[in-house]
Amino acid sequence: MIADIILTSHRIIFLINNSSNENHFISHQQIVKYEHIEQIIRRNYYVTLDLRSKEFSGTQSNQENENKSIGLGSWIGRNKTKNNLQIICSFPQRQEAKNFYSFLQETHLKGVWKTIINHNENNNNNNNNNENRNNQNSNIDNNNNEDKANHNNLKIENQFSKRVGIGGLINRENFRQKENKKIINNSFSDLETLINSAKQMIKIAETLKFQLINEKKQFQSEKETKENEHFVTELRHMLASMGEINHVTKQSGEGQLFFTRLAKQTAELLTPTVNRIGTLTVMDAYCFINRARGVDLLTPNDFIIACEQLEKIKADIHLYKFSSGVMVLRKNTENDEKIANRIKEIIIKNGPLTIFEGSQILKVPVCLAKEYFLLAEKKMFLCRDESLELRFYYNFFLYPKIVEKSKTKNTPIQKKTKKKKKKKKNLNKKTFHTENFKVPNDEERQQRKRKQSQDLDNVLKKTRNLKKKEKMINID
Amino acid sequence: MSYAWPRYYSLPPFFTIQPVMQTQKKQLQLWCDLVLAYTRSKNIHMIDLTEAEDSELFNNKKIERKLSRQSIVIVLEYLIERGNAKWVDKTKEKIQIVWRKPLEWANIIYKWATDNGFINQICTVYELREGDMTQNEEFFGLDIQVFMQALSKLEQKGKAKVFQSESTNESGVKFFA
Repeated sequence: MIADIILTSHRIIFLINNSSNENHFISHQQIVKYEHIEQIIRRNYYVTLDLRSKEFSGTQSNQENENKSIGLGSWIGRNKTKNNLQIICSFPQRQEAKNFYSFLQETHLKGVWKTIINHNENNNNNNNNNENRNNQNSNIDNNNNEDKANHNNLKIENQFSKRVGIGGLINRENFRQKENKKIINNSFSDLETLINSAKQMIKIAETLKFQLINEKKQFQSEKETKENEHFVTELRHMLASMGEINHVTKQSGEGQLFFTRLAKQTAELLTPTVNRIGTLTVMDAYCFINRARGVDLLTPNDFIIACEQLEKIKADIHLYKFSSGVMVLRKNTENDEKIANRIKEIIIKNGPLTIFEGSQILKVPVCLAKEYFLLAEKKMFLCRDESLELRFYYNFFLYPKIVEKSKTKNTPIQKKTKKKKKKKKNLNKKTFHTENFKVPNDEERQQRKRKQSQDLDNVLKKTRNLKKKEKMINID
Repeated sequence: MSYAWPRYYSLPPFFTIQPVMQTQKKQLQLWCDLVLAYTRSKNIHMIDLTEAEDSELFNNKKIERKLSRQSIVIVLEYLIERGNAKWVDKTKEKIQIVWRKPLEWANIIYKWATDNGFINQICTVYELREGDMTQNEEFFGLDIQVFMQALSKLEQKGKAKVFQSESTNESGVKFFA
């Protein structure tokens, strides 16, 4: 039959004849399952509704005074299976079918009934009548009551119906999401108050910073300068404890001054480490500085330009470039000659070395060790041997005498003394670990001797036999 | 018989050409001295490059080090600069070691001739080189080419004259005062 389908908030109404007053309707609670068939069958698009009951719920004559109603027109048919009734709504256009399906979904899931229930809290009948075939006259009142009852039933049954099937799963998910949103909103509200209070702190710190800067500009006489220096350092400490370290940024600096200030800062930070270690590769220095800064990190180029300015400031450290391009920060007292001399001594002590071994002895990264060895080679203290691996020797071409001295160190006399010392150590060890080591008795010693002699005899016999055999073979 | 190698022959850096200029110069000098002394003692006058890589001189098997072909060429070219060697062909495969310059040989030969009274007399080259009289001399068994070069130097000075006999292919020398 052809009918107009009207979807309301809690039922589906089928207006079979527009003129007549007869309407069939199904309440949403009846619907066990609804499907949207996306294939075209007989040039129509379908939505099927599986109902619990075997028949339509009822008929109603009047127009509906529902809050929400959606009018959709189509054609319906029904299938009677054993237990259930299936209503097939067909639509000539795809979009209509989609709309109907989506609106159905919305009403089922959103629980729009709740709002209506809140408005109409009048009579609560626990009427679980789903199968109504009432007459027209009684329909209105009954329907109103039924509506309310249905509302209540819907209230209860919607919960049940929510939990059943795919719809139930979807409902559960939505419920969970809502709960999560509530929790998050609550927590973020707390955080917002925190952030606001922190902003006040930041304002205070910034005012102090400006005071600092102004202080520097203001002091003139010498006495005042000393007092102000104390004040300035105290302020700086306070700011650092609050986390407001005055980093040199491009915003604060003006052009070239930026680099000089940066250089001062790097000098302050790095002179103790450089003095302790000796030389620091620029890579390591860059890591240190950026880690110390935390915010407003430096670019490598800026850092290098700042390091080049270190000499102008007359800092204790300066940037040095090796011929291969490796850059290093080192003390002003450090020299190429000193390095070369150091390496000469190391090679005289330890003999010929590869770069890796040299770095281990010097306790210096391998790239630095390589530079040092090449320096010493240029200064003609070392010569190289390149076969499978690169090894550096003392330069016996130009300094043949000292090679002889190094050879005298390992004379055979000294080697013997070394061996004797080792034996003594072994004896000491034996006294400590007496449990593991047994001093052999006389009997055991004799047994050992017998065994040794027996072994010797066996060996001799074998050799004699072999010789005899050889002789036999030779004769033959 | 094993040659008495110098101390630096058993140190591995000797077998890599040093990159630093001054050490390289010193190294090449030492190599040249070694080559000349070795060839002199073994009376070798020609070195073939392909054989040289395996020879005792450039390849020390005890320390497992040897001069690469390139570095051998560098050493030999240094020798040539010094005047103690010459390439035989343009292909640069063989080299002639001249551990004594032809002039020096010439003087030695002339001195021997004067000492033994061969002035204004004729000798064959064979006699001089491989004869009984000259067995104890340094130029005994000398390479023919070198010998002839020496004689030609004497000719230039005017102290001798070389001439070929027509009957045999022998060449003879006459010394002048």
